[in-house]
Amino acid sequence: MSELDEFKATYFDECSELLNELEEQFTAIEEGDRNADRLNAVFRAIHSVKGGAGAFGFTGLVGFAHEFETLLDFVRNGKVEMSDEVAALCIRANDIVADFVAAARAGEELASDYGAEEKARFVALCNGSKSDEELEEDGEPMEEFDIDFTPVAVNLEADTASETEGWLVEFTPYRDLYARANDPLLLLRELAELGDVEIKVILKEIPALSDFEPFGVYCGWEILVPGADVTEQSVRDVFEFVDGDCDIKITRKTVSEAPPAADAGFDLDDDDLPSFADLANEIKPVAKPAEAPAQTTSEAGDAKNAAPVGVQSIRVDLDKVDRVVNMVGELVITQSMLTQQMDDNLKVHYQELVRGLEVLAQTTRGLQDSVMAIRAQPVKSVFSRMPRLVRELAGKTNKKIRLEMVGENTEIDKTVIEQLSDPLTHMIRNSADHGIESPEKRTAGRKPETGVIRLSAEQAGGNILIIVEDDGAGINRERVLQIARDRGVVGPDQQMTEEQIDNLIFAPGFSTADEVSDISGRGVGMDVVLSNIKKIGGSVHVRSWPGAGTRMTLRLPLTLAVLDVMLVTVGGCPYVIPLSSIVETMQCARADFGHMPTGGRVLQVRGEYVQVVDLATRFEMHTDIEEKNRFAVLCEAEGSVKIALIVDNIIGQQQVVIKSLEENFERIDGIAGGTILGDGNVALIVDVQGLRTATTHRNAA
Amino acid sequence: MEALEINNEVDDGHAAETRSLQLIAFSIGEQIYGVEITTVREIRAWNGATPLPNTREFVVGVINLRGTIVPIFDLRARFGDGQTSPTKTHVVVVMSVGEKWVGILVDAVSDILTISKDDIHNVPEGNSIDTDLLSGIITHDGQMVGLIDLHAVVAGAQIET
Repeated sequence: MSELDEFKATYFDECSELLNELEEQFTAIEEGDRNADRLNAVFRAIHSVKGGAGAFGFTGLVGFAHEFETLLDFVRNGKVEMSDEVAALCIRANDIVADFVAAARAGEELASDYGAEEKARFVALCNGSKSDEELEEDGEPMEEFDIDFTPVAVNLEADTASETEGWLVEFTPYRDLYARANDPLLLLRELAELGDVEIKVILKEIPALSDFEPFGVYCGWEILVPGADVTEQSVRDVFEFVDGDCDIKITRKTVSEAPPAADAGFDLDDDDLPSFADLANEIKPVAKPAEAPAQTTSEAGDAKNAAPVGVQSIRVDLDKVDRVVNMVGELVITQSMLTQQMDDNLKVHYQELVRGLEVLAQTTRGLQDSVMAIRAQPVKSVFSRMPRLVRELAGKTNKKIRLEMVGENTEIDKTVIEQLSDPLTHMIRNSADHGIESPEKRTAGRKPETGVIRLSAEQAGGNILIIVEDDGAGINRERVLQIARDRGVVGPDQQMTEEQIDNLIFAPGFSTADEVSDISGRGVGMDVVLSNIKKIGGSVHVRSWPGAGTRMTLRLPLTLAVLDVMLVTVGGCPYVIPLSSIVETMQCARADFGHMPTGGRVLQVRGEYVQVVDLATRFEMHTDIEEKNRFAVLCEAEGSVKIALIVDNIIGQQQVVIKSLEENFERIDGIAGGTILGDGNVALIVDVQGLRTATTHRNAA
Repeated sequence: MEALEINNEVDDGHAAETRSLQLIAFSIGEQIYGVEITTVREIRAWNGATPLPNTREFVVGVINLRGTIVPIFDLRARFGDGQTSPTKTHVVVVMSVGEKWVGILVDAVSDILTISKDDIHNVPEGNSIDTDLLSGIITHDGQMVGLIDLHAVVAGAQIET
């Protein structure tokens, strides 16, 4: 990858973050939340997208973003009112920006007139905007005027056209500014383009020659930017890329007595300096750049959306984090190995060692949690793409759909998040396409015209539940069953429960053909959902209520790397069962078995019958252990279905690091992966959900 | 656990490099087989493996190779000659097949051979196992050496259900 490509990749990464943020902000704006924080945030985000686009020469994007930005600036300054209509236009414009970015990322060109209509609307809105004077008459002060003026200074009528009004910029670079290869000269030149600037060097900090440091910063500048029509933002923009690397103070400067031609007020002799300083003191500084958005509204503003104060972050290559995760994994293995080696005899004699090992175990656990937390991200990054999807789908299908999202801040492993986007898109698309009915049908069915899709995320033990729910028509079971029979997914005489029929939509081979998409039930790409989710160790379950809606539940592991398990043996071989799915264990001698007509067995647990899977039989392992000395491990699979796994022995509980079997081999039915035990041997991870489905299918066949 | 690292440096002389081939030769019973030396990552003594359920009889199981799970194939069983009962003297040759690492269980590693590519003969038509699993035959010191087609050996490991 060339250096430029690397920069581009970073830019696109940032873009997708910014676009996600924009999506979120605009959704809030659409819902009526129009405080200045939001407007500033969207303005900044669009500006950043534009800046990068300019650097890489994405002219179409720059052109569009520029007009968009202008409109946003007008809205921000109160010159254009954020009406519902403007909000809708902004949302559409945001989609268009997203399209431009996507095209640029894919190396494609969009049609030259793409977004032209919206662009024209921007210009029309801005041209029809209120002038500054009108604004003042309206009594809506512009941002800049939110200052403690002295009566003398605000001689607006005389000043509007004169050059006696301007901005005083006090600019002192930090070392970092130079370290990042920024040149103050370029910034000053850029400022000069705004008007007839007066620049003065401040040399207050010059030390004695002997104290000079070669890389020290000893001077700052005071720049006077005249012109009433220069906005504060345009001055600020000049310093955008050195934000945080310098001290910037921008103050409104008004000089009432000076005639326009005379530059006495701007004569930057040493003698005049105090007067500047006085001015700066008299007139309250508007804001420092970093704080600007926060100060434009009262502190009672939406705290959640204010830029987090004091939280610093760094961008790290995921590979580097993965390496740490792997090493922590090895550490966990070594730690559990050491603990295993510690037999009772040793424990008596080396109590210090025992204590040390306990501390090691605690530290390891803490380290592991911290490392996992690094990879954890709120699901927001995926969720935020969904409103747009729903909007588009609603438009295409002429339906009215509202998307509700809950628990966007639930955190989940980054790799899981990455794999979540496609399945979620499929599920939402299915809900919108097949679940929600047309407004007419809904009215006829005495439902509100607008259908609701509810997307929620929550943590449940070691898992994350992601639920997509709609209040649509539900699955047409007859059609689904008919198609499943036609395709041979289900035998002709096989009886199925409603729940089993619902879950047929995930059956491989069920939904590959086009005609299935015509049915009012679901089907398009749902097997893709299942395979994607399985890939990351999760499961999918669907439940439908005819006429009332459908609920799809994704159960995902919190992390992909480490698992709490119960270590068992089957036929002399170690297997591990994820602790999160184990309900209880019991000795076979005390368990209550029953026989089924097909030869299968069931276990009665407190009045409930559950299916029995003998792992030795299932995995074709030979065992010498008598039945009554074996153990039943009661597990809960997806959809609260329990199965009882019969194992030879239960060794104990421990933490293991999940290793891929597929990396060097292939996926095996009933096995979710492998892990390495303390003694260096490999143990296989039992796929409880897989065993359950396999058993159902086998019985079906 | 002893492991013998293989030095993969290419032989001297460019002419020789293009004309000749180095093989790791190993024995299964009386028969000698070979694989190209550049595919071999490591040779290690047999130290047990965890069996994999629902796989064909020639899949011995998986081992832990410095934190990675690597499957082991029993070459004797793959040739339909019954499963090997491995002892401490048996050897696993770890090789790369495409992106994957796999181990082959053999009786012993016998030699490193340098052969000329011209001396590789086609596998005679007849037994499908021979033609499927061998990519060629050469004669070395009057003995026949079968060249293993690794991709074919590791294919079809699962039992179709």
